[in-house]
Amino acid sequence: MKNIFMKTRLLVGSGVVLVIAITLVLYWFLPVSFTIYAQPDKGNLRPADTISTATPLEQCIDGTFAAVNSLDILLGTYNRQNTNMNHFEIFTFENGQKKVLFKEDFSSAKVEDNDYFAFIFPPMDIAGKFCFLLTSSDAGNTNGITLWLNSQSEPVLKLTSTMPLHEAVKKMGMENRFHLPQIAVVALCLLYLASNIAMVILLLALYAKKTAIPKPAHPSRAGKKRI
Amino acid sequence: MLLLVIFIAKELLWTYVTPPWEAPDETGHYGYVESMFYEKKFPVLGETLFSSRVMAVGPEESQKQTDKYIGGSSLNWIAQHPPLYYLLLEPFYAILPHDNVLPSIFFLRFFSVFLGCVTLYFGWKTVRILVPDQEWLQVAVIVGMAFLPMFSSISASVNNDNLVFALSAYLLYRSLKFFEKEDTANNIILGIILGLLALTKVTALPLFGGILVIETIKHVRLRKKNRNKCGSFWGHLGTVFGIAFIIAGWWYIRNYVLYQSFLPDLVTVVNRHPEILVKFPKLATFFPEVVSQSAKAGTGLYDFFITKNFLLEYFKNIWGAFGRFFFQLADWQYAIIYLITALSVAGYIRVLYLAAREKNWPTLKQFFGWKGGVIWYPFLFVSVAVTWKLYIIFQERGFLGALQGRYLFSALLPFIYILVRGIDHLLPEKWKKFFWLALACFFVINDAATLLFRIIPEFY
Repeated sequence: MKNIFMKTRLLVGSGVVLVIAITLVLYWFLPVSFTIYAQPDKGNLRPADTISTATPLEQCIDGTFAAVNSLDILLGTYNRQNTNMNHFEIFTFENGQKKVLFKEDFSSAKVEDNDYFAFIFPPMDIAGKFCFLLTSSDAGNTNGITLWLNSQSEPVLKLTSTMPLHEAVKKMGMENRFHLPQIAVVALCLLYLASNIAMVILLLALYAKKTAIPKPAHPSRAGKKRI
Repeated sequence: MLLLVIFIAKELLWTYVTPPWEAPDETGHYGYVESMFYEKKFPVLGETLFSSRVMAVGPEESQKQTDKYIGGSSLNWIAQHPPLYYLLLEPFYAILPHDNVLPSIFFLRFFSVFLGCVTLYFGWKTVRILVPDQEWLQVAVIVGMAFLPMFSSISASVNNDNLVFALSAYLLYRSLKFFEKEDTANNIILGIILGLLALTKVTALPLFGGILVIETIKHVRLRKKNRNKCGSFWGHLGTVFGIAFIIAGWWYIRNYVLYQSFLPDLVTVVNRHPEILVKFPKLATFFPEVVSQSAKAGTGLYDFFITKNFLLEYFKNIWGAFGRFFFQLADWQYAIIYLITALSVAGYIRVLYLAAREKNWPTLKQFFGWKGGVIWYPFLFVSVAVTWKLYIIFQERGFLGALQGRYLFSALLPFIYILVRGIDHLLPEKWKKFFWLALACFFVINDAATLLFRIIPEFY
């Protein structure tokens, strides 16, 4: 009886430790993405000209953004298969000089019609002017992609930043939405993670318990019938 | 019990993460509670206003949205809702600080979490009656309910739907428990629950029809078994619906006296009392829009199911349609949900195929589980019908006509149960436990992924 009690305590204790450990690991490392800037697809959208050296997409955004790592642009293929190559780059200006932070060449064959195309790059902190360029040297009238413009004639796009969950919680706390202190927001988040992990561990434990092969009866009791 | 603790723990973050007024009609529900507290009377549609405290909260877009629908005024557009849920919230509201709306919303949402627990508790009791010997199926169903992202979201908002879900869950449990016997006390309790439902939300009224169908079938079955001991059918129905009328009838009579309609809404009220337009002139500019939008809208059954893909949208919204713009889950989540649904459908097809081959058709018990079909269909039918009807009303009125999956949650247990039961028909016995475990884990991960990767990025 005492053994069973000790064993149960040990199992529950290990479960709790496991829940806490996984919670803390996820809290510290789990990446969460935020849309930090968007030119939304509001109103009637219209396509721009085919992207080429004559009509490239070039835009600059002013602002301070932390850990930016993706730019999604709503592109179109004119409902056809295109094969031209496109050039994309992100740049800023330092002392009046253009400084390229990221560049990528990609084939139009990879682009889905009327869907966001994601340019994913290493996280970068941006303060001030941040520009990007999308162009193609071999695009033609029947081979090339376009981008969608919203009712304000802006390209439809969104800028995403990915940060670990603990940073995201800090960001949530800073908004002070329900006048809760930062520590309470952290506690709510930890409680949330812990409850979900506990649920999964509980299910696994229940599964292990129910499917465990029953131990054979003690030899001294074997064959004895209960009266 | 442990599941309820876990549910409460996870819902606390949902209550925090959802911004004020982002949950469906939360402005209106909160405004209802507030106006009852200060004015000491039930709100009147077309007269009751939001306070400046309510209007001051929320993002700019929320204000614009409000501008569009109530003409820039501060009319509470949901003042026609029956009062029970708001009356229950009054004592909580009374003890909260009134100078700032924000903490008050946050704490009022806890009451919905409690109602979510009630829904789950009776869901659990019901599923234990249904499949007493299949413990893992019970677990998969109840975890599926507790971790359905849309249910998590609604259970963390100020919304009278939560009381409808809780009472419906209890109604379903009672119907099932007393399906095989006649009991006067049960009739009285059914009547009370129906009355309370009618006093909570108009969308719960069709459940009267559901109960009528269930009770009729029950009576026919009992009569077959023992004609002598079976009481009067009409006396039985009279007790149930009479008690419901005594509890809730006054509210609908009040509606008729005030608005000359038993089921009023803002547009009906404005049509009958054009003087409101003098007070709130912007509403007048909104009305021509209604007519033009109504003409454009396809609202027939054919449109609902075929041309506009509404059935698929509705199904997607049952799992998740959050915020004012009803953004949904991620594609990968829907891909897994479609797979689960396909497996379930395949399970039912398999049963029918085997039955046809062996010319041995399954009983309702084999097909749906114990007494299942009789109970489920009235509930599911009623819930889908409510959604369709509301969609038509939204379209005709020119309001944001999203197919609100949450209206299915009066039949949340039947929905999850039918889904899971279908897969049960497909799986070989030795794989069942493992699959239920995997499915339950998916439900948990799906809920967490929704909050962490959809809700938080969207709202912050």
